[in-house]
Amino acid sequence: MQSQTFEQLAQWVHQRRDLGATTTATPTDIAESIEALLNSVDGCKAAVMMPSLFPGSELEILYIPADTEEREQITSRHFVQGEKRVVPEALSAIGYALVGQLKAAGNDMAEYKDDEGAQIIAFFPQVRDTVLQALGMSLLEG
Amino acid sequence: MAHLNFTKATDFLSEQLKAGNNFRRVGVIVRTTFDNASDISKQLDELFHGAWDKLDAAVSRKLADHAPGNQRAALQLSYAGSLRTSVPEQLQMLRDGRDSEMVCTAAAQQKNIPTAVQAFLVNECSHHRNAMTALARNRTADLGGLEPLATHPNGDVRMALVAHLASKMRMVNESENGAKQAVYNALIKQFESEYSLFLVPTCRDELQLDNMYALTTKNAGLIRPFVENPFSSAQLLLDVSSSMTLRLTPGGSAVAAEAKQHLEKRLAVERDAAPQLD
Repeated sequence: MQSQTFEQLAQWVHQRRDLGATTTATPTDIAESIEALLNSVDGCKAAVMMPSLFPGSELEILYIPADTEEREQITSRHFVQGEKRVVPEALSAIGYALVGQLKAAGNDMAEYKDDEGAQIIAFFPQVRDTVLQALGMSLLEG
Repeated sequence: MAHLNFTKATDFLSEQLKAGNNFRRVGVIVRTTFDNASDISKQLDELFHGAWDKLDAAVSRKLADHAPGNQRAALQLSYAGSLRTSVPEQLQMLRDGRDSEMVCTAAAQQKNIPTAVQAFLVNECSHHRNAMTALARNRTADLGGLEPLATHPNGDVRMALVAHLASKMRMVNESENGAKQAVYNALIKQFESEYSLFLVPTCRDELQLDNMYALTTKNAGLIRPFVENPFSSAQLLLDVSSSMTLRLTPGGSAVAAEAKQHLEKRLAVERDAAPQLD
């Protein structure tokens, strides 16, 4: 994803900053945090569900990697820590913006899919079972 | 091209069914609280980097549940009380089946769980969340032996222990006072605001209430139990009634007003009880 897209996403989030609660995160914080977050998940090859990635919001987040690598390749990969930093207030702002947008349109989940087929799905807890059923996904406690 | 799509879960399910997508996947739930804002990026990197190993371990535990020996052991442990299964035999089943959450959970859910079995579970099987939650909820478990669960990494386990302690706090049993105090002290060291919902209504100690109040987030839902507890100190009520932080939260003003009413009633009672001097 290009930096221009991060900035566009950050502006989208920042414009919705009053839909949930006030936030001190600037568009720059939000853009950098989105980039850092996507860099972090890029190294993740397991499907992961995080109930509390966006503090203050009720959204649950499910990351599903693209199925492109064999197991042997995964276990030998070295992970490189990204340079961008995640700002906590930016995570909250993203959560509030998503919740506000979903509620405003009467929806209950958002799906982001990248060019390689990896997915990030944000949803309200009450529709977790439906989302998992749609994806054929079983979740185990880590 | 990457895209972001907002939709309803039911519509998403319909699309997947229409597309004939009936593959099966497994994923892992990873819980985290971002305690330290300064290294949140590092926490996220470690979390995603370690997810594959967590998934591997979780699948191993699941597969262990399906091993024939472990299924048998789980059934035997479920009926250990009725079958009068000896403690050494139970411990052997646990040693053999310690990788299976099903075996450990069955052992933890026993009525009148033997102390040695409880200790083995706490010391050797604490990575099994469901088993530890079941153990923390078990009212026949030795409360003192559950003290290590106060610092368990899983929040559900800790909350189960809190609820257990709260239920025991209502009961007068001198032999358990030491254990209750030990568990309470362990929980206070890493107190979480949500504990107050369970511990405050049953607490009769003014000092303990003051300690918990100081560590509790000031929002209406969490502070109301303090206001409703007659053993809360006048200073605590005064603090609640004058807290601007509380008033800014939904329902906070009502709780503050209630605290003020309770305080005024107490002062009126004290005034009426004071000897009248001519």
